[in-house]
Amino acid sequence: MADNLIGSDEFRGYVLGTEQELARPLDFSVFVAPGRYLQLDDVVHVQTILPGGEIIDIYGVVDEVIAKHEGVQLTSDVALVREGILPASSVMSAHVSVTRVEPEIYIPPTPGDVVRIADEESREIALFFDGMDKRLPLGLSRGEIQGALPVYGNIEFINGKKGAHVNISGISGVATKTSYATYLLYALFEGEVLGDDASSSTALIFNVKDEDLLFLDCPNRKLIEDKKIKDQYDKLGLPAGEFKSVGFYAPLRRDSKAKPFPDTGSRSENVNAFFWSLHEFCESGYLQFLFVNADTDQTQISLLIDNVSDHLRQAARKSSSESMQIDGVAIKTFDELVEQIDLHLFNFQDDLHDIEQLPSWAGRGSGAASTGTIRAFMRRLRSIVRHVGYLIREPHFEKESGDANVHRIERRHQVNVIDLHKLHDRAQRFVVGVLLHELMIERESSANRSPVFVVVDELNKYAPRDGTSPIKDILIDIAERGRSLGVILIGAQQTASEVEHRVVGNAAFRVVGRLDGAEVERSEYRFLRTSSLRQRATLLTPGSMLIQQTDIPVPLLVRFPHPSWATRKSEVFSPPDKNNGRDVMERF
Amino acid sequence: MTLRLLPWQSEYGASLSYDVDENETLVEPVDVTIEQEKWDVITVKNSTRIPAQIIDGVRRAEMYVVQDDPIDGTFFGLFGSLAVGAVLCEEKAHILEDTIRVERLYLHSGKSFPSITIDEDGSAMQFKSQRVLDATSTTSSLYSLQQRMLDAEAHLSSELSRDESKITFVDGPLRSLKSPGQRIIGYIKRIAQWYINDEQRKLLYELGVNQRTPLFHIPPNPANNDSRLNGRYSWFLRLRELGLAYHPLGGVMRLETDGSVSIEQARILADESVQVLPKLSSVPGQDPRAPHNFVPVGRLEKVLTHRLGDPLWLNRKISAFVSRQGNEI
Repeated sequence: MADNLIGSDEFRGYVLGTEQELARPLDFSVFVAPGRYLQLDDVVHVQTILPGGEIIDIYGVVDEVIAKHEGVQLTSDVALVREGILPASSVMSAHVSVTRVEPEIYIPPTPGDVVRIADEESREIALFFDGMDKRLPLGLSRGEIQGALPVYGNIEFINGKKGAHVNISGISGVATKTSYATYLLYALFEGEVLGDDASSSTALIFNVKDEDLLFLDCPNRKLIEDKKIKDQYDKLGLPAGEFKSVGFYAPLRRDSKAKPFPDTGSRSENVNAFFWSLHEFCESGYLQFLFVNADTDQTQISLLIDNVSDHLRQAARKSSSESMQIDGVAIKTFDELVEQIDLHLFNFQDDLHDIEQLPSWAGRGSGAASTGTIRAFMRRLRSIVRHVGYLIREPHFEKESGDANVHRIERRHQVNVIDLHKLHDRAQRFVVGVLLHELMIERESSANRSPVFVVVDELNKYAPRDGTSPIKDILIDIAERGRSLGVILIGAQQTASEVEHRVVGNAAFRVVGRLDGAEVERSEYRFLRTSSLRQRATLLTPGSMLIQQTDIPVPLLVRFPHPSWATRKSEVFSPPDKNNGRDVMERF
Repeated sequence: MTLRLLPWQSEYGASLSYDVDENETLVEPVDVTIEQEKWDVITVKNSTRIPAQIIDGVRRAEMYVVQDDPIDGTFFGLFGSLAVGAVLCEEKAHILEDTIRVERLYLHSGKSFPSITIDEDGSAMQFKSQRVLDATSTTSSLYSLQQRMLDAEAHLSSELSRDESKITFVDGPLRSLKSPGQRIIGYIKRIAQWYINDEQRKLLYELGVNQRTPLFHIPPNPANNDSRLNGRYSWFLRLRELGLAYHPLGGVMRLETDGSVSIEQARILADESVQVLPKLSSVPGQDPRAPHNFVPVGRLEKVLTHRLGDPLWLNRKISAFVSRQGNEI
């Protein structure tokens, strides 16, 4: 059997068993036969025979390749070899991490066993693709188009059936984190992997940088210029084109008068303006999302936020949803709300205000907040008002627009892009916090468990390793309970070491783009098991990611294709007019 | 009085000696005027690359044996291994894998004995039984093994020297070697027999690395196991300047070729040896017998020794075999 293999195209070499290169059940080295080669990420297959004659199939992935001059000791010997004085041969060996043994009898391969490159069938077995009922194409393995093969992920570890959540790390700019998250959404929604869930699944994605995500519904003109892109999508079993169902939401413009206008840049068509009514803000307790970690580090302030929120909620319940009132005073703007809060905190000790009949929201007796705490609270609140205040307003547009809910982000499309790029950081945090909070409340109160994918970049901002904040609590909640509620977090950050470990650790898919050399040595990246893998993580080019998934014991390198949707206005093949776009796609 | 070092590491002895006892007695004196009247250095200017193949061998005593026979008495025996091969130096240096031959021998002084096959884990080794009457001690049986190796080297040399596009270098004097080709040179690493007199030897101190002595003719000597009719041509060259610490003769090597070739052919060979060998010589520290053990040969010896197998492993296989045979041998 073995002798036939040596002549075959798949033949690569023999299992080594020297003192330096011992064969073990889970890893072994290969002498690469002259005239053949093995490269990193190659999938190999070895058959070894038990004394009884039973054949054991051992599959693995090459994670290190070494070339050396055999019989050379001194550094300068290499020159003698070149000059034809010292005979020496160049030899290559490769190290293999075992991924699978069938049947599961964990013995090392016998030194001298023939090593083959896996054919398509054995590659499926080696990488556990054969056991995946429904596969999500994560990208293509390395190599030119002809040689590249799809790398799959088990959808059951994404959609919540067995596991959930994706976490992506990498340096901004080169790691292409957002692009990959968007690609995953594309593969989920435009591929066939979601099956019956497809029509009811939705996604929330925040556009925080430039206008990258504001043209998802338009095909990319590069599809026509570069045929290779289409080939890559073909290989992945995906159509090449735009997202078919996208809703865009942008904050309303500060100067919106008669109608809420979305505050966007180069795109304004089909963009909904979002904001919250004062009544919603008070009734749902969104006050907490105006504050960040540093603000709430003092427990006194946290208590005060809770107190004030309670009082606002009570006031909201006494008012109609059309007009917010506090103790009979109608509130028309967020500024007025802040003034009312101010009044209700200082009234009991501030004789200048002749409003002693108003109850104090600062608490009573020994539990009352000190003047210092109240001042600190108000100072922080006022500093936020000018960044966020205009998003919380009297909903007087509603009567004109006809639809009372038009300002709400209700995920009416499959992919819902929330454009935050023009918002101040504090406003961004508020919007993200409120939306995640709303999502969890909605899921807890309904039986709907079809997946909602939430893409959150900059997790180190929202769920930092140290400190607490309302948003961090929600993200931990999603990481821990989201799976059972159908809320799937696709999180990203520059450095996983600076993110709350419960958020990172609960992800079934760990993805890294290019990492910083110091960062890659942190324990969060232990799944990159060998130093050569960690080194490669520091060299990854844009479009290449290393992915560890629950189902496969080794991280795999993938390249994901160039977006087939436009990522900026200049890439749009035609104006975002749906019919026109369809015509274009039919030409492919 | 000045002290000068000899370059070899001490466990390998020295590259030269003045031990008169070891010298063969010549029937007639050597002729040092055969190439030119004047005994003077000859400088070789041309330095083209000439393909050269060098033959070498290694041998190893694996285990000594005592054969007890109730009738015939007690005999001495030796399990030994030898390997010969060649290295070719042209554009690149490479071991000529096809030339490598490994032999396993059981040499003994007793009565005829069947060959011994040790078959372990599918790697069968056959120790060919050979009766050597005078192999009655460790020294004499090792000498017999050495002779078998020299025979194997001579056999390979005559085979390879057929190809006259390359010079064939043989380790040691040409002895009884019958060469079908004319471009064959023996190189002598350890000079015991100088052939030239003390006065002529002074010229060796003056040799530079691109120089040689004139050819001299060594007459045939039937007493010295030399069956060649025409004697040998010989010359000295310098392999390397070793510096002041070393004796000037420490970097010198004697070479010889068959006396049956024309004097013109011998001169070409001598010139070519000056072009080829100094480049291949080793630096002290690189090889224990530097500069005389050539770099490619050092590597070839390693490869050949490697082919003999791991000595400890062989010892265990032999002892396992013998103990399994019990008293039946």
